[in-house]
Amino acid sequence: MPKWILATPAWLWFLVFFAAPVGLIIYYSFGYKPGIFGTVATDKLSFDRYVEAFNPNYTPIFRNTLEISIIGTFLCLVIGVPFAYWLAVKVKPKWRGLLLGLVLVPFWTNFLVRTIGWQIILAPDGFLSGFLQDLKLLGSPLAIDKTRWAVQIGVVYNYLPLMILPLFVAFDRLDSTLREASKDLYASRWATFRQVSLPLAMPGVVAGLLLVFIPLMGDYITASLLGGTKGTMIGVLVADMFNSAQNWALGSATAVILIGFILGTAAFFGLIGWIIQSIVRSRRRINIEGAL
Amino acid sequence: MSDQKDVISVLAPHATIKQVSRRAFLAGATATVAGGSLILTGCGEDEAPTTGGTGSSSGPLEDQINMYTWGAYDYPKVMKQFTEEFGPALKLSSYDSNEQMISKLVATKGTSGFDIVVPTGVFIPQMVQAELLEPLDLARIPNFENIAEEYRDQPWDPGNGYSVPKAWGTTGYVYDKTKVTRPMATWQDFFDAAADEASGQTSMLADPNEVIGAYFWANDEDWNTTDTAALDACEDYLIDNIAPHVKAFESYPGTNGIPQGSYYLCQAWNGDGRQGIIDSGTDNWVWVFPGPRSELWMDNWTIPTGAPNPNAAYEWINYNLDPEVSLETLSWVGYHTAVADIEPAAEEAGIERLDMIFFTPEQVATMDAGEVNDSQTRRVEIFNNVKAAAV
Repeated sequence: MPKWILATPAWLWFLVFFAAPVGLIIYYSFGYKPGIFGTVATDKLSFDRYVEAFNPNYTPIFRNTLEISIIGTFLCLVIGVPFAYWLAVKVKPKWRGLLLGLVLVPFWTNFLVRTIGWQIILAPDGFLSGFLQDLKLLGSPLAIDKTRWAVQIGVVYNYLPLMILPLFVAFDRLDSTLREASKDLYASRWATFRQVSLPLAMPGVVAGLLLVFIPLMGDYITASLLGGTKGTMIGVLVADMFNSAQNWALGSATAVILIGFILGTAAFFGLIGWIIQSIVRSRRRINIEGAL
Repeated sequence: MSDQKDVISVLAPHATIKQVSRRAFLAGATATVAGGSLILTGCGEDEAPTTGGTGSSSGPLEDQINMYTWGAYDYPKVMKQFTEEFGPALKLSSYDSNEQMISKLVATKGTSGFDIVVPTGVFIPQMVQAELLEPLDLARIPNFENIAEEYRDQPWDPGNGYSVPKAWGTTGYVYDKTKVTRPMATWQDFFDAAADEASGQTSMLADPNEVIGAYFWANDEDWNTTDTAALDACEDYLIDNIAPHVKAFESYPGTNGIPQGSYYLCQAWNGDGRQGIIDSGTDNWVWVFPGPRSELWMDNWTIPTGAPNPNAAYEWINYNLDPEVSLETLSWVGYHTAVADIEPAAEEAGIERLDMIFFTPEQVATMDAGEVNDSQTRRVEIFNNVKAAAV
């Protein structure tokens, strides 16, 4: 039996449910919208939809998407790292499974329903608003629903587990003897974390960043439910072009641009990370031959 | 006779109970909402199973109806009654604009699975041309006779070949009088308040024609214009003066936004605004039917091409045109249902906020029906640009 046969189901899946739809989107993006009720025609192919999609009016939406995604991913990282470290290293093993299960509890409910839940929580007449006003922390009703802040809260909530899980796995794999060795060499707790645990957990950090950043950039549910006009993201724009404008060609071109935008941004940060890592490594390098 | 037998053999477990409960309901309702037309209807209903027998002429009723319609457009109680009485369960999906609904029908090419869609009248000719709608057999909708003469046979569907009226209404706005204190009477007042004290707290409908319409209504111009310069001026005004102040484009502020206090000022369809005001439980919200002009729209029951449950769909449409049922729906959705003499019946029944449901002839004279014309693509483009400018 040939070895590749093991990968066949995965390849078939990939081909039918990923490669084919994306190929279709790319193909449509060169088409045009025929008449009021047509959605897409491809008898004449051109780059015109890309010209339209690069409409300067849409720049604020691209900027918004990038800002929300970067801040959201960063917040997930800042919240996720200490939590995952605590869970993997500090918590007693018997509680670990339970706590990890609790991290996954939100996934038991549909993404859409969870986001609508935030709509209710953040409403000016909602209980959070009432509670904060009762505590005299707020003088007027909470005014963050339908703003960028609401989207920011929503995306951190929705994507945090995707950050915690790979981080947990990475920290969990760390050999505790390495930390002990670090302590034996008089490294402080912070120095041990910074110089031993975190660098070794780097693959988990990168996986978490990608798992959060990429779907977040394309998210449209959170933005359309919580964002109002100020929290619009590209995903909303693409959905509008398909649903309301019935312009699949333009929607496809915008979607392709979004894909490129995500790849470009991820590559850009990857490059920065690589440069920083190279600098740190070269400066920290200990020349063992010299010591001999 | 054989027809009747069919009905009974199919609906046997429920039929008898239903007949009784139906009559009991009618009797009860007639007592509370006494009126000549209602008694007449009672007679009509008695006949229905034998002659009208909408289900009987084309086989049994299917067990469900998939309805794609506007948000909060059907009274849950009425839907439940229908299911109890006839069997088919109603499944609902909703849309924000005609464009959205049409795009789904176009995209699925007759396989949408929907049995009912409720387009605004002016969209019907193009939908018919694109073969998105099944012709209606009015013989299967005996209650069509309850529709007032003036709402039948509209220019966009002569002879009601494809549609029967569901409801008609207009577009206005509601505002929170504790936040907006200036006198509010026109669309220009709406824009002025939006750009001032309601800045960042204003919602407009998520429908290209409504947002663009508001500008033309404010300026007392033809809102169906195809004139490029007029549309450009509209785009510039909305992008520069209004978009930055809009908090959200939302077609149903009445469902959540108004009751939750999310806005100070909302462009709204009269029925949705009414639901929001009633649900808010305060008297802070004021409805304005704005001048100098506004819209008149009429939505219509239609059956899309390829509907999997047409018999049940016919039965549902017919059910809704019953004056009793229609009045119940009206009491909740807050739109004129085009049924004859519904206004006196509603007054008699003591339904709240009739000023938001029924309009005087003078008000109606300031309403213009929309049009679907060559500028549609441009209008969608303007709307997208306005939305982008609101970020």
